[in-house]
Amino acid sequence: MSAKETIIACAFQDNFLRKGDICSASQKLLENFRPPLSATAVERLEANGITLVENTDEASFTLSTDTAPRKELINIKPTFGAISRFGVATQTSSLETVGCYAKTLDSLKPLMKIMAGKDPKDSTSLPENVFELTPNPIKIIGTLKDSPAPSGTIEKLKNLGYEIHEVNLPNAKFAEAVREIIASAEAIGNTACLDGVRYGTRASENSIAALYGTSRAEGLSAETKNKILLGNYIISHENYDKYFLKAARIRTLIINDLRKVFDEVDCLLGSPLPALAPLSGLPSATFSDSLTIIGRHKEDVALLDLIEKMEVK
Amino acid sequence: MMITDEEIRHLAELSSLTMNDEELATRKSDLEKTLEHIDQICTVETDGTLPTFSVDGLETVWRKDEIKDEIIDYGVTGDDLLALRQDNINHMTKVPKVL
Repeated sequence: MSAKETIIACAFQDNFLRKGDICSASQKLLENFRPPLSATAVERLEANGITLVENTDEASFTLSTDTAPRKELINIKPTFGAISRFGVATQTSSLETVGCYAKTLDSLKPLMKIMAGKDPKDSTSLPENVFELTPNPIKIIGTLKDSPAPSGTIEKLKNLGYEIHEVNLPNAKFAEAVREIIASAEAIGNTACLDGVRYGTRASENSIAALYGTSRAEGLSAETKNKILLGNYIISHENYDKYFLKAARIRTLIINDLRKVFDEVDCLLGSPLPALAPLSGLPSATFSDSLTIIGRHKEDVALLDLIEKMEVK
Repeated sequence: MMITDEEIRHLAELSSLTMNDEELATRKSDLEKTLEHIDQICTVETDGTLPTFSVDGLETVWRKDEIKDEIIDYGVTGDDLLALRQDNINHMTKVPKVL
């Protein structure tokens, strides 16, 4: 059965461009912005006959660059670069990935396969379609002492024949703070285009500096303003080494920890494991109860195979 | 971590955000709370560790500056982009005087 026949409908968050449709990216400044182009992910779905809907309630899948747990939905974040981000308004270049919230695991693989693969319009997209690679099946699952998965889940996995190893990620506790710092610093550049000049709502001011300042102050969300202010604070001359460079170094420590762990296990299970997958670029699945599974680089299919076997919703 | 009024005004200027005193006070308070949270990283020993800025695995390589037959079609023209504004004159977007 083809993807077209099985995928009922797909929605997307408001930071995905679709030609002619309003795309506000949660900013008042873009409340009337109708882009002249579509995101590659959206274009590929449309080209494959997938019905796109505005209402997420009507959709089996919602495209997203977010990874936070949501009630009764499974969040799938593929390997960094697996799906093109062209036409997606992202605030953090090195952390965000096009993924989705799924109500069901049915048709998830064909959906991801349609969107994935090299896109010349996004230089960070991977050359291969990771959802077409032959997976190395997961046999050994790592669990964390500091962030244990529910005992019921571990029992279920043991009964399914998986070997469980307890592993250690000494720097995981800093992941959330590191993500916040890197996201803020990257948000400065990625939101610089939201100035009221090129597109979006423009404040009526007599000088260009006042036009930028008022358009942005009136048009950006409080969350975005906080991010930009923090970003400018941490990349300032006085604080660059203390916060930004430090965070980038701890990111290396976290990635090294993960490399060591993946020498021993095929995937990692924890509850919750915030920020680890975005910081490392590894694929992950997060369930509504905050259970997160992180897979090996480009082993997205093996990860989806595992969660299909677990039959967790 | 305390941020002074002067610091938050300076940050707002760097960020091109023109805010009134009330909003500046809110943003300052939010920033202080976030700094309290992220300050935990300052104790981590990172000497000798190289920073990670990207996880795409790509490396910067030099190539010959030559024209390729394949031109990337971004699906958008200059006119499409100009059409996002109503106040254009002769293919240029009108803005207040800069100089």
